[in-house]
Amino acid sequence: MISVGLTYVFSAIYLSFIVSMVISINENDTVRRIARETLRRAGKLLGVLAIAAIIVQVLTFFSNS
Amino acid sequence: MVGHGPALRRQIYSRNKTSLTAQSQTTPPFSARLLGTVLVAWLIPGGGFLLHGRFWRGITVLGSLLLTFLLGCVLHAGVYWPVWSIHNEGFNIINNITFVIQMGSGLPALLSLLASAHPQIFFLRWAAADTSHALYDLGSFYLLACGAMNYFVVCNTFDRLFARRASREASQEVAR
Repeated sequence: MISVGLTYVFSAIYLSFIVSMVISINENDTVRRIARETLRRAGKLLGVLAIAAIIVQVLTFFSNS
Repeated sequence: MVGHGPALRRQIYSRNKTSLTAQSQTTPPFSARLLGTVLVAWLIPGGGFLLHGRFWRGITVLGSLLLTFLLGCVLHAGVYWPVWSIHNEGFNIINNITFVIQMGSGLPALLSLLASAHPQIFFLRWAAADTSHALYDLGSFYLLACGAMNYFVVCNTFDRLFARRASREASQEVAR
């Protein structure tokens, strides 16, 4: 079960980077700018995902089941 | 010095007319080359850029999207033909939308669709969907991301190789 959970965590990080990278490649021309925008976008996306994860975890403390 | 009254109105009218002419010329003419590029860009992620000699951009897109698709297949996901009839019990709108987005991957998605429809084709077994597997949903998400990104790349290929050139030529013509 732990390995399945880790697969989901790895997937969230990998897909965030891939989506950010493809968007950055489409919008920019220089490698430096693409790398910077990829990191910026992936960071934002992962940050929002982490906040969502914390909220869900906190809500589970109040669930009845 | 800007004129007043009718002179100013004439000036504004002529400026708007020029910009409208430029706008109507920004749409690139429909051609076999354009259609071929868009088709190749859809079938092979990044193929449109490779076809026009933009190698590093094409190879980066091809590598990243193909890797994503293959990882989805490793997680036992695949593209399969959904139920389209609303009268059928198995109809699910989410499956239909997922299918349309996953088909954005082009040739890999077509191969996976073929593998799911005909599991007896042994050399395509890696691309067949195994809906009973625990990681199938996660793998489907990989395929979904790959397809959606490729639609975006196809639009960008059209924009970079045709639309921007047409826009540049139109503005040069207006400047002349």
